[in-house]
Amino acid sequence: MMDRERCVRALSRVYSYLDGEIRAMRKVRIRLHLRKCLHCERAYEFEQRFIGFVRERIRVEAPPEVVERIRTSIRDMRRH
Amino acid sequence: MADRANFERDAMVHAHRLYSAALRMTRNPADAEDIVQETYLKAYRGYDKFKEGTNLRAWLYRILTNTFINRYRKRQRRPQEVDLDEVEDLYMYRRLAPAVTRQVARSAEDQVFEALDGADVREAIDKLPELYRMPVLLAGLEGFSYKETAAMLDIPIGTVMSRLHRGRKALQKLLWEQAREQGIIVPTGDGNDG
Repeated sequence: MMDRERCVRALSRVYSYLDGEIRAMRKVRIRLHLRKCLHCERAYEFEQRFIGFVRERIRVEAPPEVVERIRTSIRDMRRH
Repeated sequence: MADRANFERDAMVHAHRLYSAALRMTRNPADAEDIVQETYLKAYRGYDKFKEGTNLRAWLYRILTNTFINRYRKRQRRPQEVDLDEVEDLYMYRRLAPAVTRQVARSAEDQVFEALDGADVREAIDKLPELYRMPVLLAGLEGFSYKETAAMLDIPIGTVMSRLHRGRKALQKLLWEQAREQGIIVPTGDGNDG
């Protein structure tokens, strides 16, 4: 059930929880709630998957010539 | 105190991630290379002030973020392409058949995730206004704490949190719309798919 006070509270904290920006006591309370509430548990799981998905998709490698140009300029600085 | 002789060895391991982040900040490869290059030169010059054993990655990102902000502060901003006010919380999740079984929900999620490739996701992030893009990038994706992000962007922690929150919702909305355009969303019939 979506309208329960605990669900509303738990869902409002999903990002601070996943970002590790939540006090230990609150974290415990949320964990207990998630164990009892499938809807909130799934919402948390989804948000966690979503963050992982975006992180994985945006990663690009710097082109080798770019890396090489940076290395060269560091070496130039060392010589001067 | 860190030794400059070790700079290349210690700092270059972060080059790919810095470049990835720079590309999302500047939204084009030439500018990304420029600010990464400048970041490494500034970092090299200041390396004797870097305290060894503290977080080198965070230190490099701080320089990168500063370089980006200083260099591009005066440039023209793109018009805001996302209406951030009307996006509700848990935007995507609410549209992914939350009422059905876990298994069905999972496979609907998989469908969306599989349909969106790196280019789609990068494009959606690039559409976020810079105000929201920076906290999403630093705190949401690079995993810096709200406090570190606040220091990097020189804004209060509360501002980081609210911009991060709105930016994330907007990102979900953009990606959801992208997925819909590709025709992969199966409406659930509960009127919640719009």
